[in-house]
Amino acid sequence: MRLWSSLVALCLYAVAAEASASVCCGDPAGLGERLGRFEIAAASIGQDLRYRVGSYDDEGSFAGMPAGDSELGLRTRAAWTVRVAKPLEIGITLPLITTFASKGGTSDQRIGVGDAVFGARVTLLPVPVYELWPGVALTTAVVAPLGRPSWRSESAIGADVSGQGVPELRFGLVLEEAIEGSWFVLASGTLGLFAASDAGGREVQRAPRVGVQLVTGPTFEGLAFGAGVEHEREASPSVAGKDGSGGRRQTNALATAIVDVGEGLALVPTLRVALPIESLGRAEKADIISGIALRMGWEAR
Amino acid sequence: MKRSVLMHGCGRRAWLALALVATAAVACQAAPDEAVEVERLGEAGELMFELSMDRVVEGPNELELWVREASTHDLVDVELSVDALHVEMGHGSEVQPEISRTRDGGYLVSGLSLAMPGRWTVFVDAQAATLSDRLQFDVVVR
Repeated sequence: MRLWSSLVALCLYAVAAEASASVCCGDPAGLGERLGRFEIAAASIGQDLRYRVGSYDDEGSFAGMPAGDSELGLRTRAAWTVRVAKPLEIGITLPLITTFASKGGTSDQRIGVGDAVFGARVTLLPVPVYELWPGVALTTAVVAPLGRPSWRSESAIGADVSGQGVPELRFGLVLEEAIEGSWFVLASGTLGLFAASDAGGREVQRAPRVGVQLVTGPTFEGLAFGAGVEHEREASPSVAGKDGSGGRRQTNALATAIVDVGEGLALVPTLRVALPIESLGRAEKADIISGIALRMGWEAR
Repeated sequence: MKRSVLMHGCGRRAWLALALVATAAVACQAAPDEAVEVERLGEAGELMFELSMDRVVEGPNELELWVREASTHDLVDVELSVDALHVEMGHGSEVQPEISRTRDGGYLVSGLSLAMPGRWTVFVDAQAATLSDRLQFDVVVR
């Protein structure tokens, strides 16, 4: 049971890790880290390596990086989560973002603090209380825009962009199911609502951003895998009172694993790959992001 | 033990599939940059704009521009400002382009920052002694 709880917690953590691909525009999940069923607190530190492979244009066509261009990002993240009541846990995630970019003959490297995420999660139905019913949880998060947004970038190639620039309120619904104790399925949906902003003298109101994630995988003694897919989309913003047409979307394949390395201590490698398939993305960057996190969880004595 | 081996196989297949997707992504070639040519009357109908961009890239861009009086088609001296807005994100950049004169009476705009993929609207505002006008056109960064 303990392994199962940790597994689901960590797979969700991996899925919820911010997508550096859309660092300027909000992360897709917003679920934050969560605790295992018997844990009272957890802390983790992780490092992601982001390698840009291309982008999707405004018609959904995928194109690789132009010859000579490159973009590499490092994202160091620290997260803390504490249970404040039996069904309620709260947490915070703080990222530090470094970007190395070379585009159109211009090279730049910058480092900056990213947006902080304060999250809360309420477990309505634990897994697996009833065999036929999935576990159900509600999540909410507030994004504090500590990072530098695109419109305040001082880099001609946007190497210093480390945040979305506007506060965001997120809501999520998470469903978890265990299948005979050896397989898990996790599905979640999120909705992000953004505050209006003054971007270079224009009032910009972003449309709500919606996302869905599905992750599934087997569990073993001390080892587990999860793989799945996520999709997120957002309509065009309203700029100076005028609604835009089109919008952005992104679809990633996900994979994660969990390796117990000690009492309460686990390693969590992750891989997130933008799918280079027509129409699955639009007006977004396409990245391959690999990461590793070390997580420590504490259970009640 | 038998089930365990089977599960390990599933895990390996999932990772292999992702690795193939990643390889496919890296192997895709970038679309060629498209040149942009615009010759159009401004929104106020007072000035005629003629501009060209050899290519549109993610990052700093360069364009050449000539401004003529609409009624006479004579080249005119203007105060120029050039800005760009990412249509899908609703923002531009604080990086200001540099504008200089060319020997043939036109203007060279360099360092126009288009720092993200997607559709951008470029705004060119021209202020002459007695005339002023604006041109806006879209470019796509891939």
